[in-house]
Amino acid sequence: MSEHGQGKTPRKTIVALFMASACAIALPAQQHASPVHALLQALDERFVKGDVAGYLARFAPDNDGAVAMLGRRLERQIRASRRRERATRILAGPTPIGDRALVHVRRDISLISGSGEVRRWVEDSYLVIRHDGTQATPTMSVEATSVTAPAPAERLRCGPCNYQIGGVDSFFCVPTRREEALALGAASFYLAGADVACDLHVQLAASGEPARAAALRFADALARLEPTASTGLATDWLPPAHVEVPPAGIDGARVVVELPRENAAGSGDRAAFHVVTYGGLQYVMMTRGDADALDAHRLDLDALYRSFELLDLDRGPKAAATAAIYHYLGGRFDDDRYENHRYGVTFVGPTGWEPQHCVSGAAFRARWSSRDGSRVWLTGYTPPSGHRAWTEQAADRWLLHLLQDKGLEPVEPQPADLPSTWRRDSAGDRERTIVLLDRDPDSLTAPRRRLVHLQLRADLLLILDGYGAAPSSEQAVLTAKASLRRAH
Amino acid sequence: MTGAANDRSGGTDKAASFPSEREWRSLPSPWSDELDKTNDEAPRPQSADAEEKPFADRVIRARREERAIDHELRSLDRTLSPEALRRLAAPTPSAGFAARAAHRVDEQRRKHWAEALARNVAREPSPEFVTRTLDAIASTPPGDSAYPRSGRPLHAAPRSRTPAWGLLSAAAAASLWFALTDRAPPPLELRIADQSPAMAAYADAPSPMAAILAAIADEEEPHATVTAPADGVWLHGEARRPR
Repeated sequence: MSEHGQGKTPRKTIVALFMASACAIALPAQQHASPVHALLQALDERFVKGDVAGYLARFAPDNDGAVAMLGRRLERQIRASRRRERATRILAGPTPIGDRALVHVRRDISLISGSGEVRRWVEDSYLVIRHDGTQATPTMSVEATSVTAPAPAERLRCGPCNYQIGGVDSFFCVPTRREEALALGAASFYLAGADVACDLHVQLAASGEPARAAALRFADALARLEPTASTGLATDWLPPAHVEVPPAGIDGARVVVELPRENAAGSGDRAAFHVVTYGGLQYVMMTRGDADALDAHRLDLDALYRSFELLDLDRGPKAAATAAIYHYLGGRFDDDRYENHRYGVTFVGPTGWEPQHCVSGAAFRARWSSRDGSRVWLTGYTPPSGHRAWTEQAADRWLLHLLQDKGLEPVEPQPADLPSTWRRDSAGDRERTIVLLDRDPDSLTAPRRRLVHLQLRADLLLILDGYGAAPSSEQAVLTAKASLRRAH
Repeated sequence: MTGAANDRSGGTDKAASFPSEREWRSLPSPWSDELDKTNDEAPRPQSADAEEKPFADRVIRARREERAIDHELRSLDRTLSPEALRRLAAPTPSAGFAARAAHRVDEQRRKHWAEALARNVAREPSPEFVTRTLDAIASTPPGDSAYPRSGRPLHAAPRSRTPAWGLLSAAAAASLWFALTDRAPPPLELRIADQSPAMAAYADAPSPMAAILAAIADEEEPHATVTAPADGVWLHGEARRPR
């Protein structure tokens, strides 16, 4: 053996030893990650093939509702495209949670239409998996917002909405996108390994409405959607953290809704609404799941309720709501004038009408109501998911369906002084105004005639929608429309 | 025997044939004195046609009158020029006019529906009947009950098993269907999502809470043209459809 060779042998040994130790360190992570990577790849392949049944067959559901909703989402994406591409990468995990593991994944999805039009989506999801020996079996997958959120097992804290919740064993938190939540902020807490979930939605509290009435309003709305539902009595309830020393102005209630229709577990479901109002905000917790599972995990749920806490207990009657609206929606009123600093929108509502912020899943929404029953809504919509910008075609497609859905049809001919087709306004934005009639002339309550004005820029579609119950109110709507401005 | 006769006899203990569907429909409405009076005074019609005719006639006449008024109103709309209409200033409604009018309409609708439905539901048993039944139950010595928890007399002849077998067969078939097709009943989340408009962004939301909030918003703002954001996937799919 040459000197050179002799010199190489120890170096080779050192390298080999280093590699071996590196492999030894990496092995436990790989043992978990490899089956997960294989699983993600297999799911991507099924999606590209359009095989929803095969996709869902990989799941051993812990929560049938979540898996069924995943199937519905996949079917819609597949139906809306001729070809598809999807690549999934792991953002975090697998992290042990209960006897399951949680993987935070990001999916880059391309939906390609027959004409070659491509829409690109980025979807974040939490995937719950069960390790069966060398195989990873998914038990649940829930879509989440792509906005940075705390780790799912950590406590969710929202300063503007003045609360914190979570950080409870076995529950993981999935923040919901606003357009899917129709709330200022929302998150769902899923219990890993069980058909138990709790959704928290933050709303604006209706002025003067007791929490009991609000809880019953939610229960009744569920009962209208699910006719077999049986609503219980609304009872007083406060978050355990505030029972001993309730802050001034807090109100809370709880109502249970039994949903006896047989589910996959052979029993019925149950939903419980816990409503807390404080500082002009309403916190609604909807606990849902298989009735037996909810009974079995009562202590886990109690721990979740105990974790809910208001942060600032010295807020005025509307202080929290004002702060949350300004933070999330960017708007505020100054008498009749509405100003949205985030989107540079200004609008002067009809004089003397009552202005009000609304929460609807849109970027922002405001409403003006007159005593005679006239209304104006100003709503801003960011481009829908998968759309980088609003286009006239997309806005028209949506508008057409909205009008059909509401039984409205354009007046023929449209007034000559209004731009019924798209045109550029003085600021360079595209705009369009349509006068509409209700198709049912015998309708007792619907307004006969109304005005819809669209103002479009790539990042925002503004819709001004209004009607007047009297000619003077109708004129007020028209005058207000002319005040709509958007800064460049 | 009609339901009214049952009431007059003080209960259902007498041998009485259960009224037929047609007889139920001809029952007077408990809320309408006028109808009661008409039914009591007028001789009961014999044939099915004769039984239905006065009510059907009244409805047809009312609809005809309503259409005539609508027609007159529409022709009036055409006669009056927009300029003439513009000159007529609408009076300022008094405070609470809209709320009062809406309440009145709701009340009228509720009353009409109650009257219509009252013709098709069984009457409540009379207070005397309820009292006597409760007394009879109370006087039965404990342990001497002829009726076990199942509600079937112990000494009674066994009921036909045909309906039970029928139900069992149906349940077995359903179980087999679910087992073979691997189909479970749709979960709550899916049942609620299926009622959401496809164009709404919340239509695929994992939680049913958004659909509940949307239902409330629709009720609170029934005349808003748009209440929820558009769904990106739906909009993309719509682009594929020929216009």
